[in-house]
Amino acid sequence: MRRALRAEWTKWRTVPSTALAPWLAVALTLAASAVVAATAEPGTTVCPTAETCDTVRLTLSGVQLGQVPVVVAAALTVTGEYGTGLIGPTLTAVPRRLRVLTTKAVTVTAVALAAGLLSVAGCLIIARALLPGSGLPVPPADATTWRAALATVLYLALITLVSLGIGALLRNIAAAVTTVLGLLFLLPILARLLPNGHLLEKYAPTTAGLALQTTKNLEAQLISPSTGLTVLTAYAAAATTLGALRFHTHDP
Amino acid sequence: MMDGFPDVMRAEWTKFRSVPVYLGTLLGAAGLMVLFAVLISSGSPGTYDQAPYVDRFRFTHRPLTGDGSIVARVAGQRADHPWAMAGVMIKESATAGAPYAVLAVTRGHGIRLQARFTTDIAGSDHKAPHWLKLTRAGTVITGYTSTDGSVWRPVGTVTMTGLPSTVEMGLFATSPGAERAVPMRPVLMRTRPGTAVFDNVSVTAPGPPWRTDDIGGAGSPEPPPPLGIEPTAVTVTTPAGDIIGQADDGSRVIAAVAGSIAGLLPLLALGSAFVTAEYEHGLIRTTFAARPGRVQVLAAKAVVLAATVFTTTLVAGLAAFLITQPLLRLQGFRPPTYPDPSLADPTVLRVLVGTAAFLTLGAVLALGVGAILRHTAAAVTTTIVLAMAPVLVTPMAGGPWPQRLGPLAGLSIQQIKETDDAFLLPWAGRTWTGFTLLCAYAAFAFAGGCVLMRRRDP
Repeated sequence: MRRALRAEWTKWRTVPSTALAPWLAVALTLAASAVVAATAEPGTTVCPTAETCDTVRLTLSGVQLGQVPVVVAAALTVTGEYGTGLIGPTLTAVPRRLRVLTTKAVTVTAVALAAGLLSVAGCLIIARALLPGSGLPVPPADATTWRAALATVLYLALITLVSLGIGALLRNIAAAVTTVLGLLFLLPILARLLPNGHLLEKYAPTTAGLALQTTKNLEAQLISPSTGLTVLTAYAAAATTLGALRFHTHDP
Repeated sequence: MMDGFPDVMRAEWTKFRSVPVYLGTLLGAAGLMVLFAVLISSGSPGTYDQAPYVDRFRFTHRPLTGDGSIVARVAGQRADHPWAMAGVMIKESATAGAPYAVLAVTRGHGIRLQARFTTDIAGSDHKAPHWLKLTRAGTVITGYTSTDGSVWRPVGTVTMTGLPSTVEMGLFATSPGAERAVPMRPVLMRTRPGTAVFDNVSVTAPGPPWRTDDIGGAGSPEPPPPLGIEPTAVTVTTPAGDIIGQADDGSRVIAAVAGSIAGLLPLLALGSAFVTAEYEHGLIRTTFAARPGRVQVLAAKAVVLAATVFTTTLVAGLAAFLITQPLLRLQGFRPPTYPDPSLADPTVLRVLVGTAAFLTLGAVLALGVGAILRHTAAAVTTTIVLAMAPVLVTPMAGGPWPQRLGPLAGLSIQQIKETDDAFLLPWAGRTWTGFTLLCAYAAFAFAGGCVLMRRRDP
């Protein structure tokens, strides 16, 4: 298992597209959060008044953009091997297929957690620096803030597993990326167009998962943080299970 | 350049039709378009389930018997929606749905004289502060505006047959929300309470005291401020409310294309992969060995891609249009309010053909990005993020600009009767502006791809 893990880690860090992904994720998260924090002002939809403004959620919102490189890299770790034919040698070296997929899952989760921690820490520093300039209070260093921050890291790890599962299921990078990004970005938009779409919007992975970032106006949210976490975990479990089934039962 | 362009095109067409994933993606995109059109058409015009109008606002009023007039200066208006009104009103009674005539300033559509949910007469382009006067002479109501309170210009007259001798006359404010949204196009504006500050209020004859009522249940947590016996300065705040009649908003046509965005994502991936896959499989070397004219190869790819995507999505759009018509009628979108649309109508044709062109341009844009980046994951991700990010931040940005400037500005081709930007419907009133912008994006990406392909080794 340890050797298989080391092999996966070597692949991850020596392929430029996956090696760059976590750094790109941190950079994009911080850039997006900085723009949001600098342009936020009381009296907008996201921020009705300075008191009711969920500054924690506002500061962490950059992860919506920052998640993209990590989820794409997660899908690439599986589909990339099918594209180049590397999957043959990989399965020759480690014939137990579930072990291969598990080591991939461990690797991408670890990377996502690391990128998430760095991003979240950066976001909180940005909040401290930029929010007062926008006339908004700095988020307090209390348990709620820490919960939202750690939940964001957890969100990143779970959404990465969703992407890995979809990659293993579809085995085609273009299809996997389109499906994952569609799930993340298009589903909430389409839900808004449909009659009774709030039911669908509620259970979209981004809406459900990022409910965990909420620290204020909990009753105004579509879905509660705990239900949101359950829904996102269900997505991750379903995607990885389906991916593992296909990986286990179908030849490369 | 040694081979004829038709040969290059034939080669690209063979590649396209012999890869099952490409054909599957194309058909999948068409299927998604039709599926979402059907799903979207399964909802009713919810706002008008109870009555064919919305009549909800706060009204500070007093009775008027016989002829007379009301004069007020709108000193200020605080509201977000371009159709938020602040002005003077004569209404048969203080109940929702009763006949009325209003003269008001709006946030974004100038001075309006409106009556009975159907009449809408545009006045000058002034905003608050502005003077307004509404007079009643028998059944004729006339509206006047003025910049100084002494020189009055008529806006128009409305005749209200059957108006009783005693009516309610007063001041009002609205703050539209979901009522102004086309059912398939959520409103883009955030909604704040609409506040109107009036001064120099005067009515012809002294009479019974003023009172404030929330018409149609426009109640707010804060009770209305107390009024003097003969107040001259009044502030009216409506938390959320509108005065509007049910009318044809283009729903019968929009429903067929509102889901086109669902088909866009697979088509973007298809456009990118059509060129990047050749790099990843090394096929590009063979392609260039056979056809050294690299720009020719990319142009041939673009033509094959554009032709197939345009044809498929046009057929899908037509199918969606035909399938949704009976569904929409069933849901209450029927004549006389919502006339049956015809394929011979230039607007309907423009929306259907324009949507196919929008999706085609998206695919060509993706092809250009693919030629620039030469990496499937990078190209697909970049194109999708470039397309979706501006739309996603638009509702939060509190302004229409992000979606106006992104590639999805091309959705402006789907406009029918919009007077203001809506979600996924930018550039209201300027149908071709956003579409031209998307053409420019696609041309820019394609040109960039050509230049780089020619300069670099595969």
